[in-house]
Amino acid sequence: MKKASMILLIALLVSALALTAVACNPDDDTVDTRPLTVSALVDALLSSQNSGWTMGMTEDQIASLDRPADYVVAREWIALAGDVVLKSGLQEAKIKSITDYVLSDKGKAFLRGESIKDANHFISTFLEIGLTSADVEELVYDGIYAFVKNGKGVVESIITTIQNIKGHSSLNAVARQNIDETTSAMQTAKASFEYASKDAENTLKQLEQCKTSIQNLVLFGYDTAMIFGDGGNDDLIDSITSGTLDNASASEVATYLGSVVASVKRAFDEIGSDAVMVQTALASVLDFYTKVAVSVPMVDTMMMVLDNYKTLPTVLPLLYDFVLNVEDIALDGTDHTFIESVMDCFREGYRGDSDDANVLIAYARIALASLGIDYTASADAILEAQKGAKDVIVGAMNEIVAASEGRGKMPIIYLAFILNAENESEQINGVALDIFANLLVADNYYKQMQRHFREYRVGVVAKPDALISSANFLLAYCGSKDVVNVNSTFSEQWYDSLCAMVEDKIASEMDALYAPSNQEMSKLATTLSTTTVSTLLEIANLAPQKMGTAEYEALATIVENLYTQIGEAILG
Amino acid sequence: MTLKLAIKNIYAKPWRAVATVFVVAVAVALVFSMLSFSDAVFDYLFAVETASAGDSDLTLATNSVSDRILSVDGLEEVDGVKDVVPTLNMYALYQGGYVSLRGFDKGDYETLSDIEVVEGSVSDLDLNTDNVVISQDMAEEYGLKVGDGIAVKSGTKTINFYVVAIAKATGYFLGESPYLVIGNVKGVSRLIYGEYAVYNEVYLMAEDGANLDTIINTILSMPKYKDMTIGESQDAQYVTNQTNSMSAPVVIAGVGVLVLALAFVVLISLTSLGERKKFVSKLTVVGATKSQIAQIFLYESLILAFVGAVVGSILAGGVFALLLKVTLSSVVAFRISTIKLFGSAVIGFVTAVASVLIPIAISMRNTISANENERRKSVVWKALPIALVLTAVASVIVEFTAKGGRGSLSLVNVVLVLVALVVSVPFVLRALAKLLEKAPKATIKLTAKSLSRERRHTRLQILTAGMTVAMLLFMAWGLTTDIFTGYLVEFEDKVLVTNVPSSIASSPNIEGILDVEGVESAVPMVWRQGKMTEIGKGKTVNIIGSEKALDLIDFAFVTNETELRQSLLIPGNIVIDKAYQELYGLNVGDKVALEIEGKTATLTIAGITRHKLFNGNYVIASIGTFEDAYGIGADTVLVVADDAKLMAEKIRSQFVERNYYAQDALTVYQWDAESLGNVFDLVGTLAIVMAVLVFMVLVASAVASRPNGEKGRTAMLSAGMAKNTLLLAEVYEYAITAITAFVLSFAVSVLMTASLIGALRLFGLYFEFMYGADIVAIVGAVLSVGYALIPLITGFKKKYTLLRQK
Repeated sequence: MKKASMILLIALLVSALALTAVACNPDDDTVDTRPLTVSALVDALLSSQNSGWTMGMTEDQIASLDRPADYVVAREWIALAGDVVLKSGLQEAKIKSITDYVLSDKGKAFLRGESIKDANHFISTFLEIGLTSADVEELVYDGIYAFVKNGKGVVESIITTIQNIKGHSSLNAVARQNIDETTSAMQTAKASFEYASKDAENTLKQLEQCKTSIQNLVLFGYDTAMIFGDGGNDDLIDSITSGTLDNASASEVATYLGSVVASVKRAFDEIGSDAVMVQTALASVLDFYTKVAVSVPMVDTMMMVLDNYKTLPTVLPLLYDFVLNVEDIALDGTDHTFIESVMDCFREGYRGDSDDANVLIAYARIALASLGIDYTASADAILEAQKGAKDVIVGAMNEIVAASEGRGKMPIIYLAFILNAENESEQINGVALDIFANLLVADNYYKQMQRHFREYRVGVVAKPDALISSANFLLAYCGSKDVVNVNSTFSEQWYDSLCAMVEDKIASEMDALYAPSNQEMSKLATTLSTTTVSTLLEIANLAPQKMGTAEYEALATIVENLYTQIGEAILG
Repeated sequence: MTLKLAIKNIYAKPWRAVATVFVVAVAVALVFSMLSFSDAVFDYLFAVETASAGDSDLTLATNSVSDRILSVDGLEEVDGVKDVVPTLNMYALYQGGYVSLRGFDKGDYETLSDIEVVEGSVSDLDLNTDNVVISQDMAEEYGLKVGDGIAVKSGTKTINFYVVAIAKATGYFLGESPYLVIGNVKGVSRLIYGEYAVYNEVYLMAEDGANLDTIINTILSMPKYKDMTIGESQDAQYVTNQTNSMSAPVVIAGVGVLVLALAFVVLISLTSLGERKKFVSKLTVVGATKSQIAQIFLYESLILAFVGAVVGSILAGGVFALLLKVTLSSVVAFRISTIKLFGSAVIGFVTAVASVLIPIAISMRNTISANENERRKSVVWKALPIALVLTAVASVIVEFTAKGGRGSLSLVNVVLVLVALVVSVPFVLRALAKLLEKAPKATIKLTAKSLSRERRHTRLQILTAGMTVAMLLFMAWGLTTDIFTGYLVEFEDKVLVTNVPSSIASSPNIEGILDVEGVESAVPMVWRQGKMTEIGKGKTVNIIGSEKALDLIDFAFVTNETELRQSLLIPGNIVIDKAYQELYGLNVGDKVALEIEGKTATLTIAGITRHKLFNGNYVIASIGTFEDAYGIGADTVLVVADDAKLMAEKIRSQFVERNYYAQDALTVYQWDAESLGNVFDLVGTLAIVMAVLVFMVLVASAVASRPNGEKGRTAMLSAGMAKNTLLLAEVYEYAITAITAFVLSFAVSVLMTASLIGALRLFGLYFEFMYGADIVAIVGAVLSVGYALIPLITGFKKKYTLLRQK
């Protein structure tokens, strides 16, 4: 018995030692610091909105704020953003450096200012704070995905929280009003989410199917803008005059251009045949976003980015051809003649103004190159190049038309202006021209209506006047006798119904116009302003002048006049 | 029965057996070390030189620092090319010091070389373009760990990278100088234009059996690559030349070591020869046949030699490998040649057996009584030392007087002089002993009488040979150090500024560098390496591409200075070092072919200078020569300033927008100094080990030969001599022996050093005579004092007995 007790005691001791060893295994003691790091970031983001705000405020503390509902709204959306960052592949050290940026004066100014709403600068700002393109692609995609999937939950949580706070006796009048207004807005938002949620599942599925392609599309769009610009990011000329390529040699500019082109080519290859799928997914996301009556700064900006890129899938082949043309002319041989000719425009001085005559000369040279036309070539060669350009573009247009459906064909209309028709017989006839013109106008009004609807729903504008104006135009275009006014209900259902009507109308007009048997298509596709290319050639052949001289002023006038001619040719 | 007797014999004299085994083992280890030294240095240098190129066969690069490669189209389709690995390599600043950034395409990180990770994961490099791998050394230096960010600056751009793995100092990281940071090429490209992949070096791996020259010609015929440079990634010939330069002094001294090692084996056997002869006589008396006697000694020598060879092999392989790991590198895989190990063991074994059997065989021809008596004094044996000395003297005279005498004859003389010394030293000792017999002090008289009567002075010969060889090895150490530290001294006040445009040469103030406060002078020049293709298998030379270099570096002028300076200004003319005149017979007016990055031009020797810089492996020419003949412009500015480190920082910060790479020259050559320092350590360690082994052999020999004089010592003690007096006499004996050895070794070491330096010409090294008397004196003194104290160290006094023990 004694022996058995001893054995049992020893066994217990050994087991205890073993358990202790396991429990104290240093390898298992590693603390995951990532949640703490992300927590610091979200705290910083919240405090950037208001220095007195922190994530862990109690209800009592929230109730004591002047605008408690604003705090709750900001906190919930920022928490969602934090969740996105937590699950992302962002390195912890990078998250820390972003936190430092957010806490800096520059970061606060960015988050509170207008820059955050500027879609054109969105990506370049992200890159400036140290994010790589992989980070931007991931965050944009994950952010949008999270918004679609969890947006409704966030709104519900906001409603619940502010309702709890509403019961606090410490609330002052301003705070109560803030809560009431926000509750009302959130209820509307909740209803819109509920309406839109029936499509949310489909939207999410579409996003999942083309995740990589969407990311590549963002990259493609960004890289192409680095050459041609999009009104925001530094394009090639900005880089040469004051950016990355300031003081660079022609050889270095050529290397830079070549590397950007290579990136464009890679992105294009990656997107491949998914372009239509991507466009559908983006349209679906944007439709969802338009319907939900909630405005979140970062999400709004991301949606604007997507809006900028949503037409890209359609025009990818054409843009790609433009890029290849630039590559062929600018990167041909080792003497970099074309690049020298662009850099020559700035050797006499650069004012930093996009309307600078010398800059416009450079743009003309690049625009012609994108069409495959070397402005320094002989007249015969230029004519030949024009024909070649026309053929390529017509071919690309047909390809796009064949691949697109309904309103997806719209971008081609705009592109038709930049080619040059040689023969009058190639001018399109009057009927087609009317349809063409109507389509342009209708499409414009359609986009405006979508914007006006959202602005009214989220409260950016108090009155629906602009919405009424654009909606009525569209109703008339569609042949409907309905009219809307200030007493109408502008619900999601109404919006969907109007959109469906307009899409059907445009699609039917488009199908009629683009029917294979319709010779007008090829004429339409080749209808060009007769002066556009020749005007560009005139501009491109002007010699840049020394800044501030009388010769420069004269040049500026000439260039201005010539660009006016282009404008008239395009707009008619 | 004979085997049993042989084993009994071994057990009967355990210390003699141990000493014999020990000496054989040492001999094997020494032979192996000397045979393998050169291979070890080659392995080390090869690993470091090819660290960046890894397993690639060819390297394709742009001609100019600012040129980049955008794509590697067409290379994979070239016949014979298996893999193409484009990379971007550039320097940037991290915490005030340069780091080397290396960008690979996704998935290519380990194509050229494995990355051995101690923490983190290489595959995480694929997760983002700003993820990087650093070395353990860099992590320790800056206190970095996985997950940390590092902000790296190039020009005015600062970019953050994030550590995802820490790697051992192997592969790419071997011999990194400066610290290496490996990442994605798009991430590294952010320091240039943005996240767009650009490259400047492409590594190609060829299929097995592919002809590299054919691949090179095919690539150069492609329009895209015709203006680029392409060459073999692993220039084994260059490494061989470097190895020869560094190991030559040791290899030559090693010849002496080889002779010494074998002499040890022979001599240790001869120390017990007298005893063996007595044993032969006894066995003969009791009726053993010659065959039986021979068998006994055969078995004994086979056993001892075999054990010694095995122990020596283990010792050799293990100790040498440890030595290499400690001195050269702990991560380079050194080859231990089993053939050389086996060969060394066989040499030791055969020598040991022969050194026992041959004398026994000779003595067995004599009568019993003849064996018991004094050895007949053969005229031949007396004449041999004289003949050897005369031959050595004659050979040395020829070496230093005859044209072309230096070189092969020098190598022969290193051995000949040593052998002559060893053979003749006993006579000198006896002569000295005769003189000392007239000394007033009785103990010295006694010692002198004992020395003069001794027939064989084996230990004196071991000591003399060992001391001389040790002196030679330490001289070799001094020479090796001197070879490569010359330029370090020259570069103390120099700053190298690279990444400069070639137009800088035509700028009067060197694009502003000359105006920087503290700059004494600034000279744009071509600073790279070339190959003199028609010398041997191709001699790599360092190019000093500016006529103004003559003002920056203190050259001695062999050719008239004024004429030389004028000639240098003419494009197509070069100046070479006197070493090349001496080694290869080149003279003013001769034409030489110089290859630089694939292009070869014929240039004319316009003058000769002398400097230790780069061990004489340099050529000087004007920038015009390189522009005309190779299309190469100035690529470096050599700046002279009192505080080179400070000046480098100043230049970096003042010209930050131009992204100059400015580094003080000593830092630029830091790894050269460190890696060469490792080789010096190896040489020095070998020299010390050699000296210690010599001493241990002497001790073993002293112990082994104790029985020989036991009768005499017992007699003296029995006659009333005090133990202390006897001990003192023995100490005097050892001291006189040591002094004799020291004086002769010291004197002869001068001659042997001269021959050693002459023999270096066989390795393409030219040196003027240099001699470190202090090193030699210290080595000799230490060994001498140690030897003189052997009676005290080994406790002779304890073994003194009055009665002779059976």
